[in-house]
Amino acid sequence: MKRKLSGMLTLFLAFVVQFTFAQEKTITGVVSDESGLPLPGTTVLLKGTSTGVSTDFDGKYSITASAGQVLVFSFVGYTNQEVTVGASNTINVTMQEDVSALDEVVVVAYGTQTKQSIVGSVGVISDAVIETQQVTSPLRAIQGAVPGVNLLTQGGQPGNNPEIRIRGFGSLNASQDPLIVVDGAPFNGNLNTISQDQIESISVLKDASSTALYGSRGANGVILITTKKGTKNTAPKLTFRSQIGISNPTIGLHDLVKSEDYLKLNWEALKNTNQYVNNQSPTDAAQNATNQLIDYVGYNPYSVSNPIDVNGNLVAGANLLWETDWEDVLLNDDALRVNHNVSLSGGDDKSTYFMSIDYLKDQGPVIRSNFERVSARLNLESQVTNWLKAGLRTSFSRSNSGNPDQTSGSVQQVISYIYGVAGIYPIYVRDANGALIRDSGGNLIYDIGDGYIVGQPVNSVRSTFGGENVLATIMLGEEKRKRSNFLGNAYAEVKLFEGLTFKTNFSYEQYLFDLFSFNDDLVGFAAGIGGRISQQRDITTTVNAIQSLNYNKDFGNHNLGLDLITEAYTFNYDYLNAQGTGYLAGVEVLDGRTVPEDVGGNLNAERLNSYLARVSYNYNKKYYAEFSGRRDGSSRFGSDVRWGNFFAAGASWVVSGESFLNNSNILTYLKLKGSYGELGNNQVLDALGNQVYFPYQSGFNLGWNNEGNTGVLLSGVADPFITWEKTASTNVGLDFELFNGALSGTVEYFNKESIDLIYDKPLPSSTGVSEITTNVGSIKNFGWEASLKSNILNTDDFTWTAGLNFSLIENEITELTQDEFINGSKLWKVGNSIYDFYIRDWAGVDPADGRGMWFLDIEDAEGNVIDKVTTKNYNEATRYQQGSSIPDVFGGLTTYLRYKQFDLNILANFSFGAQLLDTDYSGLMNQFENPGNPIHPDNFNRWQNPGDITDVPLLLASNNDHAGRSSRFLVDNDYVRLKSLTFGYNFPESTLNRFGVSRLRLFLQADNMLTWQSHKGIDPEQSFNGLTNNRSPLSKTITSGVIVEF
Amino acid sequence: MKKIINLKRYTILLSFAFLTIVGCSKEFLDEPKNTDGVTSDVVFSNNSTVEAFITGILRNFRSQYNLVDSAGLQSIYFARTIKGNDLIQAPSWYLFDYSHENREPNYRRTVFNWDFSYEIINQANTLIQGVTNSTTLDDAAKKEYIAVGKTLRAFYYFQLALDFTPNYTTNSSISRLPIYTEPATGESEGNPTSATSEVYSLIISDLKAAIADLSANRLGKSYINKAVAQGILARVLLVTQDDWALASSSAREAYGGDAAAAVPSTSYGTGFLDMSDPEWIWAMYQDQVESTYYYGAPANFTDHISAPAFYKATYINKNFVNTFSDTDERNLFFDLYGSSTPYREFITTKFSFTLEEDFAILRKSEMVLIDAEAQYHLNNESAAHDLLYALQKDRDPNAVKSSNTGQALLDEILLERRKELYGENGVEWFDLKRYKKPIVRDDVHRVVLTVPADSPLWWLKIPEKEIDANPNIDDSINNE
Repeated sequence: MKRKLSGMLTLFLAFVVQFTFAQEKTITGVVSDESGLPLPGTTVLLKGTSTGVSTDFDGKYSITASAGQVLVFSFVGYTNQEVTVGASNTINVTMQEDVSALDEVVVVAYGTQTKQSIVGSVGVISDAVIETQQVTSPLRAIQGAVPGVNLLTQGGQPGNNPEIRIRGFGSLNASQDPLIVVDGAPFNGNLNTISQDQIESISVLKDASSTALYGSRGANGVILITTKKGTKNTAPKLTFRSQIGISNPTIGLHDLVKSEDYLKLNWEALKNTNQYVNNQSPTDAAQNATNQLIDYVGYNPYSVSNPIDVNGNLVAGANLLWETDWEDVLLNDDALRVNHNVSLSGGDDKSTYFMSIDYLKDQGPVIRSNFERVSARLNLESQVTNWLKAGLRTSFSRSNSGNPDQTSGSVQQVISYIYGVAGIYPIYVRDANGALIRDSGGNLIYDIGDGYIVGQPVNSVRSTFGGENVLATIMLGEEKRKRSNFLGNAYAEVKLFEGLTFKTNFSYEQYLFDLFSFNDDLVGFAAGIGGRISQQRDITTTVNAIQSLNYNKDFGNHNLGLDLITEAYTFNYDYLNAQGTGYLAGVEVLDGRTVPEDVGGNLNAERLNSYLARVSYNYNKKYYAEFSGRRDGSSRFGSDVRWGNFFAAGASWVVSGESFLNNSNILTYLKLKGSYGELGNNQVLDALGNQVYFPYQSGFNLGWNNEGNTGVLLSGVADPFITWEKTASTNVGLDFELFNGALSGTVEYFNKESIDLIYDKPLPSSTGVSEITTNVGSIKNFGWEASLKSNILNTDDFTWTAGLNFSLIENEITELTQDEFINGSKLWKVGNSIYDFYIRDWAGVDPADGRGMWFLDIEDAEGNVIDKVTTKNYNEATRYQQGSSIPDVFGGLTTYLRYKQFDLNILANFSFGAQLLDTDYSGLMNQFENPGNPIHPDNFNRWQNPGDITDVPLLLASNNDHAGRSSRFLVDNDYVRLKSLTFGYNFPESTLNRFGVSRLRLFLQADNMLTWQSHKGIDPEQSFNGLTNNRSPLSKTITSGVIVEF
Repeated sequence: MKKIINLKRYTILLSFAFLTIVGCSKEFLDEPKNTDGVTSDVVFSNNSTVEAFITGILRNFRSQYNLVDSAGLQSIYFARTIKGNDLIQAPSWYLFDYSHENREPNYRRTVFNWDFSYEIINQANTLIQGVTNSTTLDDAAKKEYIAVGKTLRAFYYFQLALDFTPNYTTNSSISRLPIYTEPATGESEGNPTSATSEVYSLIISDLKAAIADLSANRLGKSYINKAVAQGILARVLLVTQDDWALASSSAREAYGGDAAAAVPSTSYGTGFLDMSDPEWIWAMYQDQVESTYYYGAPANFTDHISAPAFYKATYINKNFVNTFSDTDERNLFFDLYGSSTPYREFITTKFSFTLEEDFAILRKSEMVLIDAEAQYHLNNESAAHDLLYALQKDRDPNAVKSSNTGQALLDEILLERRKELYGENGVEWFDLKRYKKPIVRDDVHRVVLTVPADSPLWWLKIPEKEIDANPNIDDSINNE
């Protein structure tokens, strides 16, 4: 197929090349502002097309046009100028300032549009905004910058990509991630392979009309990343940027009690269990607790054998022999961050180029967690003839990352370990008297709590995280991730007629991921078996071909645009893994294995075939209308149900263009807009969030071998008719500007209803199957978004602007096929949101006996609730709907100040009204039933004697539900984060010119420096469903930098 | 001229678009194939693929289903093991099973034992239905595979009945377990519960049918043959206690009829880890590439010495140790730690943890003891004496033939069962439950307690998630 296509293309191009268009010519000129200074970066667009160029540093441009065509000159903050091409080949333009900036060119689906002509909802982040932040994964830059986009990063591993939700949560078991498109092609690699400096702009498409052309995969919004390119007729420009600084965790972890208090509280828990559960006399209970304590926890960090006496006090003369601060030894302080970048760009009258190389080294909050990347990009474009334009964009990126686990629930996870192993456990092996033991070489030995000295009765076997010492795992082992990504994007544009253009775009992406994990023989799961290496290598390949025809024509005041597009998308995921054990000391490659434990491999493929059409119309730039449709076939669905049709329509009215507002000095701009459309989603996910490529087939999985015989096992049940999830999206809004730009903004209301949700419908597990993935039910997301900007002051010496954006989003389940589903801590039923908590309600502590209580509804025979009482039996307590992890309001604040050569830029993001079920914290409260688990100082407030009024129950060293999931651990998760602060100084040009330097800037940049939060001890960015998972905090980074331009 | 050229351009462009786009769309989308597994048609098309499915189900017996204490049949067995008086668990994995605090509707024990058992039952139902409907398998093969499916189904309904219902002879009319004999489909909504007696009827009729159709042949000792089905049936009849003659004959056929020849075992002193021991009837297999790693109980808990072992959490009650004579080859206990903590006095070296150890499920010695117990109930005390002595003499050269009668003889048989089978499948708990006896823990225990006979602590509650998802079961099922 591919060969046939390219053969056809060559033939076609060869044919077309024979013809020329005599009437076309090259127009050049200089664009300057009112004071006569050149305006670099001005967009010069051929009206009615998406063909355009930018002016160079001297304000010069060069564009091919024919007589009679209209050139549109646009620049942010200036009024557009239109000039009709006449006899002259030179057109110089002086731009008039206009703060409304509505004719800015914005990258939209399959093309560009002016801001004025957009009928839908598009948020744009320019490179200027990106430049003020230090984001190892580039999309973190949109947090707080675009209304309607809720973004969070889970865990502090550098390079972690953020989770992004655009306008709520429209799917249940299909992916809620937006589609990411880089330079026109869907992106399947890891976003952290793209360095932030290569990005010209990021457009966030939010409503149906703007995403409609990506309809089949646009239900959760689309993010378009456009990379930089050179400008025509520009002298080579070399820019060097360098930043060096340090990172620290943004937020400390939860507090933990020290050894003495730890043992005292454990003693009390044992005594209470003896006394209140096992009914011993208080004297016996205390004496037994004293005797049991060291055996219970297994280790004795004190110099006497029973360090806590029968009164619960430390016995006189007991010396603390060791104490481990696991947080201190496992987390990084003042980790170095280095970023250097060189770019070169320019162009002559036909061709442009942009080259960039970026080096980044970043370290995370956990020891040996780091990320080192080199990324390079080359973008070329050439106007080959006056009717043919061709271009190539290529990038290559390679990263190496040390990636100790810091977000999962595994026993080798750093934060789980800190929250799972108390400070009374030593780092190194000790004898029964607490003295350090050394190996034959005189070295200390990591203590993994598995009884290093066989038969040693104390300081030997630890029940919590037995066999594990995460410090040893990290220091002796390896967790490496290598990623390399090649992205190539070739395009050609052929002008067939006046107004009719044929475009072809072919992109190829190859992403190679290599995961290498080495567990040392001395620790954890590979102890005693010579160490283990697991290595995984997978190749993700995406090939995307787009052919399009664009027609654009003015008929007087009527402008008509027409696009016909076809797209073929092929995705392959080729996976290989190997695992072996039994290595000689010092050997850390699979070749050295004695036992080849496992080998696996698989190939997954997905395809999509699409036909698209878009018609746009405007009358006199006052009335705009757009209609688009798309038909898609996806290989994810059975052949009878794989095709989906998606339509959208939108319109806008520039009210301020009407005569009755023409002369208004107050309302200087007003546009009303509205759109409606249907979008699709085919990204079926399994319970772990992995893609499911054939959800309509239930199969027998391979690899279930037994006694050397090949085995297969049934993998559940499937719905053969599962098909597209669809979202109907409505958007209405207005863009306005008051007092010539003193205040401008956008307000929008949206309503998105997702139907035929792809959902893992729960089945009773007694059927042998826990769920079936099918199309069930619908969800609605609706709300308001506002984005406001004010130019407070603007003089020669002083500029001050401020911006605010916020979103109010509601989520509601509108249809289900059964009354309700309980999904973990949530109850899904009509009228609820998918993230309303449904948990037991904590009723406090009974002062009489110190036991925790929960509320219980009493029902009559008909099931009506007639009373509400408390119970001490967790399991019979009623679950209530309470709280939600969806914020009431979230958004961002920006301000920019410039005084002469100094500038200051601040970006903060905020979220209010969401709740968090902090199970990191509940895991530290009253966990004496699991010996060795660290505990939170809040346990000091425990109930001790009858009559004590407190919210912390009595301590118990026996199984209890006090820390069970309930409103006791449901906390408000409001926060404001100072996400970036940049303070810079630009040397005056007059000084620099003497040294041949065109720009020199020194700056300080600080990211995540301050976080105000309503609940401490945990990073407020956890998960959309409001559940925690022992995640490491994000980093705060402060760097100093320099930019030099020649 | 120009117009003609324009027309040509159009034609070429349109034909180009048409050819590249429409021409191969169907083929383009059909090309990706699911490579993750095989389809039902393939599985039930010939003997080797059906056997691959049976292989997969047996591998799932020891899968890392959830966590260390909820990972396969060995977890179900070890949880029962640790509930009694003979073994003591340090505060490590299984600590709440040990302290009888692990039966609530949201607890991992409850959810795992339920989900895991029912999952295998559904696989067995899929096997039975798929084989039945196959148009390519011959009748003899069909019979055998259906028999395997019924044995698997019976075995896991038996585990469910033991874990989730009161003792059968105390109350067999209580209705707590839904029964399924058809595979789940997307329309399955969850069956209502059935009386325990109906569950046992299904178990026994499945096993009887399977025994009729199975032969001695199988792919290996971890697979199912006639002796396996007979052994399971013998065990089931210990619970129902209503057909001692069948219990005896089933056990006898499973061990071969000659007790003295059946009981010698190569496993004592070598770590109970090799299923090639002729005394073993049915086992779970492991090797370097088919290991469940650290999810293997009991060895990973009882072994305090081998290099790969690290949980080192299980100790032996000294009063149980004292029931073994010095010359008993099963007396593998010693004081490793010299600890002042009473419960840490004895460990056992019965089981070795190697990551490759096999797990015994059914052994001939157990069958000989079932035969002895059946003979006792059939009032053939001297036959019971002979059978008991056949085992005792093999294990201990100084053993003396029992002269006990009545309850004392039964008690001796039950003690011998504990001595022979401790650590393997929860024999002590199983016997106390079916004979309606309490668990009375000695003072040496870490958690000293008494579980009265027939108290609710003998069964697990029904998981909350089952109640939430099954329209035919409501909260009241857990009222006690």
